[in-house]
Amino acid sequence: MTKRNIKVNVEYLTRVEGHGNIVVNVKDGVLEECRLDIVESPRFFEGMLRGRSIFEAQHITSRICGICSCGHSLASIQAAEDAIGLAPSEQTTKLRRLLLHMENLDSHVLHIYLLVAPDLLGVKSFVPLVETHNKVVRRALRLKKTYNNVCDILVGRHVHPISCIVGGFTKLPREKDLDAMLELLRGSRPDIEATVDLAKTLKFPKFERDTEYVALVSDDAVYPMLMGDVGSSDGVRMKKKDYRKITNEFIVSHSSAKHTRLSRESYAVGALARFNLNYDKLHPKAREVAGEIGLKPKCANPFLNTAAQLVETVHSLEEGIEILEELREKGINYSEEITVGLNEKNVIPVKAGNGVGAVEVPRGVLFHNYEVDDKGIILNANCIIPTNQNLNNIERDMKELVPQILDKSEEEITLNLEMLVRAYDPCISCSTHFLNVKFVNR
Amino acid sequence: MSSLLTDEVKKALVPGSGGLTLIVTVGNSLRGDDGVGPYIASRMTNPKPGLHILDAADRPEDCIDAAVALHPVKTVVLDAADFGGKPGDVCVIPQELIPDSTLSTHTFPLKIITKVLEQETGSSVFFIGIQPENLFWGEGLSESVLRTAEEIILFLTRSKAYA
Repeated sequence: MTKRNIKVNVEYLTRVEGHGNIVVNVKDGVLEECRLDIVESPRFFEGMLRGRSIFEAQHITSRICGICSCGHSLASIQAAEDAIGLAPSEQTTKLRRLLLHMENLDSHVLHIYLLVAPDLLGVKSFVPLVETHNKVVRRALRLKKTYNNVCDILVGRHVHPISCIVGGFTKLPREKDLDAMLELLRGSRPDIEATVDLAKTLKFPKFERDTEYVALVSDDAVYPMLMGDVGSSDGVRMKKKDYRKITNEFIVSHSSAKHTRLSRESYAVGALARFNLNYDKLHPKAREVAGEIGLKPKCANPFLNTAAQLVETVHSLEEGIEILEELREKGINYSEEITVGLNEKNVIPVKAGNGVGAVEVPRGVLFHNYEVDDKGIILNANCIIPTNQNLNNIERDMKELVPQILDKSEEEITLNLEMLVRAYDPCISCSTHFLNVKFVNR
Repeated sequence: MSSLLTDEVKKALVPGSGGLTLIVTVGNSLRGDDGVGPYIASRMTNPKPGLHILDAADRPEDCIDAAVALHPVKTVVLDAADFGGKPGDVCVIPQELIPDSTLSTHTFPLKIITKVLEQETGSSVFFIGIQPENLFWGEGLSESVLRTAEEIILFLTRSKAYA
């Protein structure tokens, strides 16, 4: 083993939902310190929800995240409906699944192209690719526009959905809307195929650390994104109402975001967790792509979370098309269209209760929990986002990775650590290239 | 009252020779002065011949196909930008000073958009930034930014260059 002394101090690794720093200290070849500091200020969304109606909660919580705004809306709606004992219709569930697929597509495409591809193509950022890989850049832009446009049609806005509410939809897509969405999605197939071809040429770092993977699981044949229990690769299975027993949040001094653990010291959520737990339920075309890129469950290489995202991209596209084709064939029941507002006219019966929403968003399983009174006013709220659940696992990965790459240059070590964090697609934007990296050899 | 528009800004705003000049406005109307671009677009519904306004709002990455289809000879991107000036100040920001990254993973960095526009349209691309006073939630522009917006509108509608 190399006897090098290395101190890595990456300040402000990321920003969006917060700031993160990578701190690594190696003395005489021994790893003394390895942390992912999260120094973000609390955002108090749970506090904001107190005293607000469950009928406006989805609009408030969608602002937690711009890229996962649909997922937060759906987790919020699910928690609210669970609290008041309202079961959504089959049609509503289908449309919500479609919405989640669009968010998955939008987010995964952005992560694969904008945040990961530059590292794997050996450039500093996505910008130089405009000159060298113009077709790739145009394709990425085209895909993002496509899925934004489908969201626009489906829920009235590409970000922060409007029409998707507690009880259903204020406006259901007309036939022409279904046709337009179908045309957009079918039209994006060649670009997704080209994305798969690009992914085949990328070389992901080789690194493995066995960990526990957590995702929604179910007994039916549907790849669980919206419904199901919470399960783990270690055999845990619990109802979503027991989410606190899954997450077991705890505080560490170097992070303003809580860490989590389940059966082991840490666990991972996200595309790779879903892939590992629900591979058999993926669309056949997605499984085919997994085979083409050599991704098999159970995969313990966190860098391949991006590969799992690619597989999910194919799944979301194909299942999205199938949902639309089915809706087109059976027709939409427009009598389900509802106007609720703040439920001033008691359109939806409300009772006091405690409800949990558990939804798979691009970065992993997201929990919302609301306690509401008999008027639908939120008394207490709790939101646990996927990135929080991954922080502890990322840190454990870093601790195992660093000793394996001590023979590399300081620049390469830093890049490897950055790539590792990025592979989890943390909801902390700008994790790519805003980094101020400082090495101090003692 | 002296003009808020410097010669450099006026030069960037005058039409390109031999074809269409495209103004792409960018910004979020729900974030105070960030909505200055869309405000200018909303006031320019009937631009002079040779001038086209494309409001990309908060989705600049989605405007590329429409921009390319117009075959402009000159493209000007108008957006709120914090360059350390006084509220309402306006300046031409060199491409190299536009950050490679955005402050979020929600969108593509503006630099990519401007570079793609340049490459795809073959036109010269200018980025004009207007110093915001208020970026807090809510609609409407601050007085200083509104004054600048009106001056830009006036220039684009009255300038002899666009006659």
